[in-house]
Amino acid sequence: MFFLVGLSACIDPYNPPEIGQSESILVIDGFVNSSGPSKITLSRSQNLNDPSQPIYETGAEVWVEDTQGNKVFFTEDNLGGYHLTTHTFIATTYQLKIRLLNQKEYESDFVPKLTSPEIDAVTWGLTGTDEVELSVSTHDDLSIESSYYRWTFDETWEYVTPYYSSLVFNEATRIPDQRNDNITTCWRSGKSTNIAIESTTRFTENRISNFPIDRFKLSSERFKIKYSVLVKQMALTSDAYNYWKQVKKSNEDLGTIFGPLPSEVISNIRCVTNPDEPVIGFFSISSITTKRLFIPSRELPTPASFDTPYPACTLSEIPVQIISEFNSERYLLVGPVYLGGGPIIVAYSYSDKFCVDCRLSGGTNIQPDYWE
Amino acid sequence: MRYSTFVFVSIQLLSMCAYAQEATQLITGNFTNLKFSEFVSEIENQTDYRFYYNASQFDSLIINTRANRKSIDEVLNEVFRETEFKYTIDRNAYVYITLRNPIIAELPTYFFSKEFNAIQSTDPDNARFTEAEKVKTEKVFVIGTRGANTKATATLAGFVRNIKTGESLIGATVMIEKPLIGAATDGNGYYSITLPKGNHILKINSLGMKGVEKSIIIHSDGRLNIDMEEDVLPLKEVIIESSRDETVMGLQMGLEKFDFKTMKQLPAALGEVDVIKTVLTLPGVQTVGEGTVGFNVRGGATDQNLILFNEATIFNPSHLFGFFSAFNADIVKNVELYKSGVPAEYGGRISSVLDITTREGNKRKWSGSGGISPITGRLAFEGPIIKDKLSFLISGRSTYSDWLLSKIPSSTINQSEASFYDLNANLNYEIDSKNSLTLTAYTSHDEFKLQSDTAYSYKNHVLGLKWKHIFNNRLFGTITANYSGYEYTIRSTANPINAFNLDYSIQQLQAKTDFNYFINSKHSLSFGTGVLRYDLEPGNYQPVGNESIVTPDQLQSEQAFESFVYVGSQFEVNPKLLLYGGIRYSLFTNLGPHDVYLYSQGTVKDISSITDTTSFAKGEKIVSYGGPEYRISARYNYTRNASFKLSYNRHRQYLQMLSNTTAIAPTDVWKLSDPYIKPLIGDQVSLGYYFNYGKRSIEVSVEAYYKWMQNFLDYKGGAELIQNQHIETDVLNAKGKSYGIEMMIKRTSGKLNGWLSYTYSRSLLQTKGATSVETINRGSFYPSNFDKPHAVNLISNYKFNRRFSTSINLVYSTGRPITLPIGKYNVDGADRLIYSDRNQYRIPDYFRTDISINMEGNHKIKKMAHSYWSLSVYNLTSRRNAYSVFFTSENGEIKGYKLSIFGTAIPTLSYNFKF
Repeated sequence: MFFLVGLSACIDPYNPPEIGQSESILVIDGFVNSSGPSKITLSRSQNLNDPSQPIYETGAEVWVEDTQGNKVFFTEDNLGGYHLTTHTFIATTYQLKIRLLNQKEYESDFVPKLTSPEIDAVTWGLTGTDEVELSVSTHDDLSIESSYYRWTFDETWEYVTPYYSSLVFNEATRIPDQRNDNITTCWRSGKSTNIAIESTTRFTENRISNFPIDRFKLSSERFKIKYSVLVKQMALTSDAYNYWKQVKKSNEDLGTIFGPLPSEVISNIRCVTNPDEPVIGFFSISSITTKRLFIPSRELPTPASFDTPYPACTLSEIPVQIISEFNSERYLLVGPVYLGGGPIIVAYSYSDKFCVDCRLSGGTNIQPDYWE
Repeated sequence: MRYSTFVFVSIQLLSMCAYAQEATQLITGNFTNLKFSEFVSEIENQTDYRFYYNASQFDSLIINTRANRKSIDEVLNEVFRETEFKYTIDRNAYVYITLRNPIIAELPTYFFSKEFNAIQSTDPDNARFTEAEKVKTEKVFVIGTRGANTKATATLAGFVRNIKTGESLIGATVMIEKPLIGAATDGNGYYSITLPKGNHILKINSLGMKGVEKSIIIHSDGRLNIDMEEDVLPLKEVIIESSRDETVMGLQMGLEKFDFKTMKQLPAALGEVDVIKTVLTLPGVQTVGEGTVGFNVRGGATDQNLILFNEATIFNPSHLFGFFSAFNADIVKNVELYKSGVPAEYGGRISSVLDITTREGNKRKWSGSGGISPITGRLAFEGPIIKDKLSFLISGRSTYSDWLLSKIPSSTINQSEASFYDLNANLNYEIDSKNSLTLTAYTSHDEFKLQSDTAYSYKNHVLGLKWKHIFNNRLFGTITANYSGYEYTIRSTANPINAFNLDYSIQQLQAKTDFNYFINSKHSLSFGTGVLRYDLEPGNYQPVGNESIVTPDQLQSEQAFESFVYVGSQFEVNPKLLLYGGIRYSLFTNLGPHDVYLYSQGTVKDISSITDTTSFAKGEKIVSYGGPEYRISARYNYTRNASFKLSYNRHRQYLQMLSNTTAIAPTDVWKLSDPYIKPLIGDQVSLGYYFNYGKRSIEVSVEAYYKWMQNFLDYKGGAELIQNQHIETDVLNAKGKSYGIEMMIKRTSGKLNGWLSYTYSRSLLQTKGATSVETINRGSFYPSNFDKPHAVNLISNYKFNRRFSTSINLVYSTGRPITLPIGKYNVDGADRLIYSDRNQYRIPDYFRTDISINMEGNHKIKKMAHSYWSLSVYNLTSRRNAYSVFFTSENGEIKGYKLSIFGTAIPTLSYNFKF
C-alpha cells in the first residue's frame, strides 16, 4: 500500500463523537520490586478528552500475601502511592490484595516471584541517518527455559538555556547582585512511555541480543550535551508478557492496514466484591536489574539543528538608569553590558525567565550524583 | 467407437442372400433396453456382419426385441419397424444403415474404406456455419426422424459457440416462446431442451452475442450446434433479453453475473480493470475498506467465499496487499457470484461462490491483446494449434511499481520494494464432438519489503485438467482434476543474531466428476462426486546464517481428506412453479501424523491445562466431520413478467482462515478443522421478488435473506496466530447471524444503462464462552467488522455513440464498525487507552464518485488492431473517506487520526489493444 499511500493517502486529525465513559475504572500500577523499594499506584481512569490529572485512590489498604497468608503491607503517601521499602520476599508466589476506602476488595492471581538476570549491555546505534536507537542485551545462565522480559528506563540529559545568568535582581534593593547559583545548566529527566517487551521463546538460547527498546531523533535536545539512560529490566511470566503485549498492541500498533484489532486486555486482578467490575492493571513481582549508559554529544554526528524549547529566545537590554523599573516578574537578568571594552556598565541584558532559568522548562539544576 | 464414422456403401442384394446362406448367420438372444450400439456389438459378436451407421442418428433408439435363430433380415426388419431407418447388406456381410433412403446401387470401390467420412454439413443436425450471415437463416432445420419415437416430445441438445473463436458460450439461453420452454447452456456451453414435436422457432441469446433464431422441425431427439456472432457494436439489446428472461424466468436467485465488458466500463482505480472491484459494486457485497480485495457477502467473512478460477480454488485473490485482484481481467470470460440458492455442485465455503471462468483460446485465428496502465502492463496471445480443435491462450501481467516507488521522494517509500506478476495458460482440445479436454495453469506471485528489513512474498499456483464427455443428448459429464496451492515466506536478516525465514504453504488436490442428465423438458438431474486432499505446512521457522540463535520451529503438518457426493434435481411442476431440490453430503477427515494436545475438562484451554498428548500415526484418523447440506429453491411466476423465488441452503466449511486484522493480510493462515476447531456451518433462507417493467427493459429485484452461522472463529485478546503450536488455546467459538434486504433496479439496454441498488443489511456475532476470557461484549451480539447497514450503489453508463461512452459510479455506505477508545488511564507516567466494547462505534460514512470516459477505435471489423483508451477519475470529489480511525499516545497526550487511502482524485489514462 505504501506507494499508493505515497501517492494519495493521507492522515488527518480525527475527533470522535463525544463519548462519555460510563464508569471510572480502578487502575492498579501493580509491579512489585523484590530487590528494592516498590510503589503501587491506585488511580481512576478518565474520559478520553479529560485534560485534568487522574484522580488517585487514597485511603486504601494494600498488601501482598503469600499462600501461607503472610501479609506484607504497603504504606500510603496520601497521593495514591503505596510504598514498600526493600523487603525480602521469601515465598515463591504472591498475591496482591487491595481494600478501598469504600470497602471494595480486589485481589490478584498468585504469581511467581521471578528473578531478572543481569543486563549484559545497553548500547546505542544510529538507525538511518537521523535516529538514535537504544538497545539492550541480556542472557540468563541460571534458567535455560525461555524467559520474558520487560524494560523500562529513566533517562536524564544535560541541557542549557541560551543565556548564562551571572546576575540576580535583588528585589529589596532593586539592583543586580552577583548570582551564586547556576541556573543555566540543568538535567531533565523522563521515563519510558513505550512498552518494551521481548521473549526468548523463539530462540535456542535464553539470550536477547540488541533488542531495541526505544529510539529518538538525533536532533532531540537529549543529545545536545550529554544523555544518560538507566535501563531497568524485569522478568515477566508469560501471562504478564501477554498482558503487556496486548496493551502495546492496543496503544502503539493500531492504524496500519494490517494492524490488529484492539481487544480487551485481561487483568490478573479482579474485584472480589463485584466480579463483573472491570479492573486495569497487572500484578507481577520480580527483581530488577539495571544498567546505565552515557552518550556524550561528541560520540554522535551533529545534526543540522537541535529541537530545543528555546528557538524564540531573544536578549534585550535595560539601561542602568532605569534598572529599578526592571520587570522581575517576567524577566531575568543575564549580565552587564559594558561601554566599549568596559569597565563602565551602561545596561543590563535580560531575557524571558524561561530563556534564562533552565529549571522553568522542567529540569533541575542539581547535578545527579551519578553524573559523570 | 469403431463405427462412429459412417459410411455409405453399396451392395448387390442377390449376392448378399447367397452369402447369408453360406455363413451361419442366425441370431439368437433377448435384446432388452439396449442402445443401438450395444445391440450392434451383440450381433457382431454372434455373426460376421459388420455394421456401418451414423451413431448420432441412433442415440435415442432403444432396442427391445427377441430372436431365436432368426436371420439378420428378420431381426432388422423387426427393429426398424415404425422407424425411417433402412438397411442394406453387401456381399462382405457389411450392414449399412441409413435414414429414409436405402442404399441400392453399386458404388465405386473407394466407398468401401472405413475411414471415409461423410460430409457432416450435409446433415442438418450437425450443421456448422462459418459465415455469420448464415446464423440468422431462413433455413428450416429438421431434427431427428419422423416416427423415430412415439413420445410427444423430443430432446434437442448441442453446443452454443462463438462463431469467431469457436469458444463455447456459458449461460446462453435457448428457448421457444409457444409454449414457453427454455434452457440455458452450462459451463461447457452445452444445452439440452425437450420440446413438443413439430415446428418451432428456437431463440438463442447470449451475453455479448447477436441473438439467433432458428426454425426447426423436431421429430425425434437430435443435435443442433449453434454458432453465434459477437455483437461487435456493443448495443447490448441482445444481452438484456437473455439475462432479463433469466432473472424472472430462471430458478436461480442471489446470482450476479457479469463479463469483461461490464468490468471494462466501470471507472477503475489506477486503471486496472478488476474482477473483485466489480464484484464489490454488487448489492450484498461489502468490504472493510477500499484497497482490500477481501469481500464480504451477506455478512460472511472473507474466507467464506469460494473463489474458483476455472474450477480450481484460489486462496489469496490479491496482489499488492489487496489493491488489485490476482486475476488478469483481459482473459476473464465471465464471472458468477452466488449469494444464495447455491446449487448442490458447489460446496466448501459457507457464504458465496465466486466462479471465474477464463476465455478459451481462439480456435479459428491468432490474436492478441494487451494494455498499459500506470501500474501494470498486460499481454495475452491466443490462437489455434489445430484449427477448430486445439487452441491455446497465454497471458501475463506484471507491474513496474518497483520503479515507481524509487521515484517517490520519500525515504520511507523509495527504500521499499513491491512487485507482482501473474501468468495464465489455457489449452482447449476438442477431441471430437463428444469429448473435449481443457488444461489450465495459473500462477501469481507477490513480493514486498517495507522500509524495514523484513521481506514478504507469496504465491498462488493452479493446475487443472478437465475432460468433458457427452454420452448422449440427455447425459453429459465432466471429470476434473486440479491442484491449488498457496505459500508465503517472511524473511528477516537485519540482525544476524535473530535472522529467520518463515515458510507457510497449503496445497489442495481435487478430483471430481459432475453429470447432468436431462430427463425431459420438465425434469433434469445433476449429480456428482469428488474428493479433496489438503496438505498444510502451517509454519516452518528457521534460522538464517551461522550467527542466528533462532530456534528452528516447524509446526506439525496437517492433512485431511474431504469427499462429497451430491444430487440435485430441477422439476417444473407446471409452467408457473419450478422447483429445485439438492442434497450434498460432505465428509471431512483430518488425518495423522499429528500430535493432538488434550486439555483438562471444564477449564479454559491454555498451555497450563494441557493434560496429555495423543499421537496419531500417518494416515490415522484424528477426527471426522460431515453431514448433509440441503439446497432447495423454488420459483413461482406470478405473472409473465414477475416471479417469486425462495431458497434454503446449508453449507459446511472445513477450512478457515485465521485472521485478527481488519483486512486480509498475506500472512493470514488457513487452518483445517481439527478436534478443537469445528467446521463452519452456514444456513441461509432467502426470498425474492423479480419483475420486468416497460417492454421488459427495466428489471427490478428485491431479495431478503436471513443467515445463521455456527462455529465462527473469534480470538482471545493477544492471540498469536503465526507459529502457534496450539491455536485452539487462542481461538473462541462465535455464532453469527446476518440479515438484510437488497433492492436493485437495472436497465441493461438503451443509451443509458446500469443499475441502482440499495441494501440494508446487518451482520452480527456473538461470542459467549464459559468464562470472561472466552466472552466478548459480555456475550451479547455485536456488529461484525463488515456490518454496514446502508449501502447504495449507482453504476451508470451512457453511450453517446458507438465509440464514446461515459460511466459514473456513486458509492455510499455506512462506515464500518470500530472499537474506539472511550477512556484513558495513566500508568508509569504514560497515558494508555481504554477501549469500548468491540465494534460499538463506526468510522465516518463512505461516499465516492468515479467517472470514466471510454473511447473505442473505429469499428471496422477488418482491421489490424482494435484499441481503446480509457480515462478515469477515481474519487472525483477528493473526499477523504476514512479507511481507519486510530488513536495513539504522543508524549503522553492522546490524539485521534483518520487514515484515508485514496484521499485525492486519481486520474488515470490507460490504453488497451487487441489484434
